[in-house]
Formats: sequence, structure tokens, C-alpha cells
Amino acid sequence: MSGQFPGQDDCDRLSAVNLILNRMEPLMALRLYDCNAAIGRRLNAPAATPTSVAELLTEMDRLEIDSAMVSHFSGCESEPLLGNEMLDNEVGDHPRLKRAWTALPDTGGDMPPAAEFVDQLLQSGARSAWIFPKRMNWSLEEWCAGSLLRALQERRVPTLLPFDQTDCNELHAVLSAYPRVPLILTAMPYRSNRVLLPLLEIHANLHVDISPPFAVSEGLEEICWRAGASHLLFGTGYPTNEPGASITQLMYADLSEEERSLIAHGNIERLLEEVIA
Amino acid sequence: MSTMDSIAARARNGERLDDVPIIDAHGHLGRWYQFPTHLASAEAVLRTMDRVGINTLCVSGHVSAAGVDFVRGNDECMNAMQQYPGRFFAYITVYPNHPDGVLQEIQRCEAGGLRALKIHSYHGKPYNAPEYQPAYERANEMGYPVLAHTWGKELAEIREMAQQYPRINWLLAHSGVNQWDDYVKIAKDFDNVYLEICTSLTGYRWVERFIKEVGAHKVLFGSDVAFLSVTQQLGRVALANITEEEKRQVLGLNAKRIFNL
Repeated sequence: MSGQFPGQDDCDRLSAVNLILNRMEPLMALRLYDCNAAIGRRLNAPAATPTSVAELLTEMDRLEIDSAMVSHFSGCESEPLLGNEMLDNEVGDHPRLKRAWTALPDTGGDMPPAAEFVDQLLQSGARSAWIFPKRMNWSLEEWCAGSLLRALQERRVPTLLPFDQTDCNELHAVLSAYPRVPLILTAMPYRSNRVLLPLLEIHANLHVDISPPFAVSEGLEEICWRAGASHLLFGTGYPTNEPGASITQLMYADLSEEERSLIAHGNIERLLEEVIA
Repeated sequence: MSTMDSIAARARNGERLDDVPIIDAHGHLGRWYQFPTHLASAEAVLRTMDRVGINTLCVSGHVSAAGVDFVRGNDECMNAMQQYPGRFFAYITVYPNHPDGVLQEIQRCEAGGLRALKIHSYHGKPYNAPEYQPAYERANEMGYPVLAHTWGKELAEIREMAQQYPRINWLLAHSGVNQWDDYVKIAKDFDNVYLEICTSLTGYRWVERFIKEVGAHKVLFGSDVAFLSVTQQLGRVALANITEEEKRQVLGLNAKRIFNL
């Protein structure tokens, strides 16, 4: 690329080239499957933040996102069972959306037994679960979360866990004890590679959603190189985050087309196919 | 049938934005203690810039902007600017804890062709502290822009300085990260205050709302590379629900005007 700032003549010439290129056979856009979208009202969200399925679909159309795994904010900010019910009612069996319930253990006596709960999740048509141990005041240790983690593992339910809901030592212990739970870390801070990279090298069942704040410079390339593309999932964090950020992070990454395709949709589709419904 | 404009359509597919003037107003060179980075060198960052189509990256050193080694950091950026003309535009990081040396360091960097300042609240002094005044006086005299790291709480200090030094264009880094409405207010109140947008949490429709509130001429694309991913931050503008002309202003034309590039 030239070191000079492009002048108007350069821009006109390049625009003309692009016009010609754009009139040629359009390239087939890479299919995108968002593993982290949500609907519902959120505490402290700016006014006019979208809440509905219709708004989600409009945004997916605008950005050419094919499919999404969608949760309901009421599940994590109000009451899990209410949120799951609202999610089922609002999303139903939409062909482009897969529901993600909010899950927690039955240790408080306010939830069905874990195996029964996971069975209900799958019977409803949901195919993944979010867990919030710190926010909902439970522990990922065996004595508290064992029955839930066993049930999620037996049915291979993709389980989304925000990084601020755990710590790296606890995560290592859970992944070691339950090596077949497909665990997906979300909301990964961009300064975490010194602990994230070794965890990914050790645990094949650990995945990372690339949604913000995972804003690591060349972070996708580094994970592909160190641990493999199978660990990464395209996610946007809609409507908390601007979905376009995850799209360009993936599309401009220095990856092979095979790696990009796995991250864009292949990995999450494989995980969903492996669910034992 | 896609309804995307030409910038969005190409960004959606990872195609280079060759005909779009792109100036990243906020970047860094060098390593830092909090995380590993493979984009520490000018050459490594250039590879990423070329993959996307970024013309110019405005840089300060990690070790000067967020650390204490301001001479070393300024040198790293000055060297990159001299070695790759047009591709890097270096800020002079002002280190207020060495007040006797502030003007001396600015003069040293001016001799190397630098003509913009970077200030960072990590250095522990409020932006209206006396230690900064010699730097502002020089910037005001010369018309240098000042990129200020902000996290919301510094806006009252900037407000005072923007009034006192009207020939400085104040660029507020990380605009919107906290106290979103206060960023809008200060940009509306002062012609010489601009919103630079990099944040790791890429708030939904922030860019659209900023443009609606203060106008596209007051918003600047910055990435904070290598703190943050430039490829990620680019999508906040390239795929925003704004016009193509507004994208061109935010991505490069505003910075071209402000930095006189």
C-alpha cells in the first residue's frame, strides 16, 4: 500500500474499479452463526436498546448474519425460570434462532433436579445453557454444581459462562472434572491471554466466544496457532455490543478460509449436532 | 439482495478498503506488562494495516503513554514515523511527573517532526494540573491536537482546559465508555473537542448516536491497537447504520483535517 494518503483521483479510480468488481458475479458471503445474542429488557440499558425477536432478525438481516443462539435477559437479570419461559414464548421454533436457557443447580430447593431440568431444556427445543455462578450465588465446585455439570455433560449441552463468573483455577478444575461439557467462555477480557492460552491448550472442550470485550490484537490468529480454530466461536454480544465489531474481527483476521469458516459457523453447528436431545 | 453500502459490503467480507481514506487516530507501539502482544513493532502493525487498508496510524508508545519511560516511547514512535513516512503519525507523550523536562522533551520530539501530544491519566496528575500547562501553552501556540485518555471522570478537567486553550483540538479517547451523555455534552459545548471512539466493549449503536447528537465531523475512528484489535474496532464504523459519507468522515477525513495530513 502506498505511503501517501490517497488523493481524490486515486479514490475515483479505485471507486470505478470497485464498481466494475461489484457488477461481477457477487461473492458468496461467509455464513455467520452468532453464538451470543439476546432479547428482552435489560437493567440499565440505554433507551431504545432493542428487545424483541423482530428487532434481532432485522439486525441479522442488515448484517447478513444467518443464525443465532439467543438468550433472554430476564433469565439472568430477573428470574431464570421466568426468563426461560419468556424465551420459549417469544422465540418459539424460529428456523434461524436456537434458544439458550439459563441454568443453575438445584441446591437451593427452588429448581427441579438437575437431570430433570436439563431434560426439560432439551424437550423445550432449547439447545444450550447460560450459567452465572457468582451472580446467582452458587459455586462451580463439585459439592454444589456437580449434579448440574454431570447432567450438562451427559447430554453434551453447550454451556456459556461469562469469564467474570469464574476464575482460571476454578475453570481448570471444572474442565478437568467434566471434559465432555462443551464450555463456551463469553465476555473474555482482552488482557487474559496469559491464562486463556494455556487453558485452551490443555482443554479440548473449552471454547471462546469472540464477542466484545475479547478485543485482543491478532487474538483469533494466536488462538488458532496455539490451540486450533476448533476453540473459537463467532459471537456478537448483541444488543449490548455492536455486532459489526465481531464481524470485521473475524473477516479481517489472518486465517485460512477453513479456519474462518469453522469460527464463523462450523464449530457451533458441530456442537449443536452433538447435543444428545 | 444486499442493502449494504460499498464500505459495509466489503467490510462484511473482509475485503480491503482501498479507496476509503482511513486514519486510525489512536494506536500504540511497543510491548507492555499487562498482556502479550504480537503487534509491538511497526512492521507487525503495518501488516495488519495493509490487510485492512488503513493508511495512517497515529501512535504513542505503550511504555510512554501508559508507563514511565516517556523518552523511550517517544523515540519508538518517532523512529516508526521517520522509517515509514505517511504510515505513522507520532504523538509526543507528555510525562507530567518530570515537569522540568516537559518542554525539553517536546522540543526534542519537534525536531524529529512530531506535532501532536498524548496525555494519560495513568500518570496520576489531573489534566488541569500545573505540570501540564507548559505543554498546553506550546500546543496552543502551535495548533497541536492533544489526544487525552479519558474514562469519564476527566471531562471536567478537559472542559476547563478546552476553554483556556482554544487553539488545541482535544481528542477524547474512549468516548462513551462511562458517562456517555457527558461526552456528548462536552463535544456540543466546544468546537475544539472531538470524540475518539475506541473501547473494548463496543456499545450498541454508540457511533450512530454520537453522529446523531454531535455530527459526523466531531467523531474520530481510533482503535487503541495493540491494546485492542484494530480489525474489531473498525467494524463499529464500517458496519454502523450510518451513511457512507459519514463513515468516510469518521474513518479518515476528520483526522486528515485535524492532523493536517
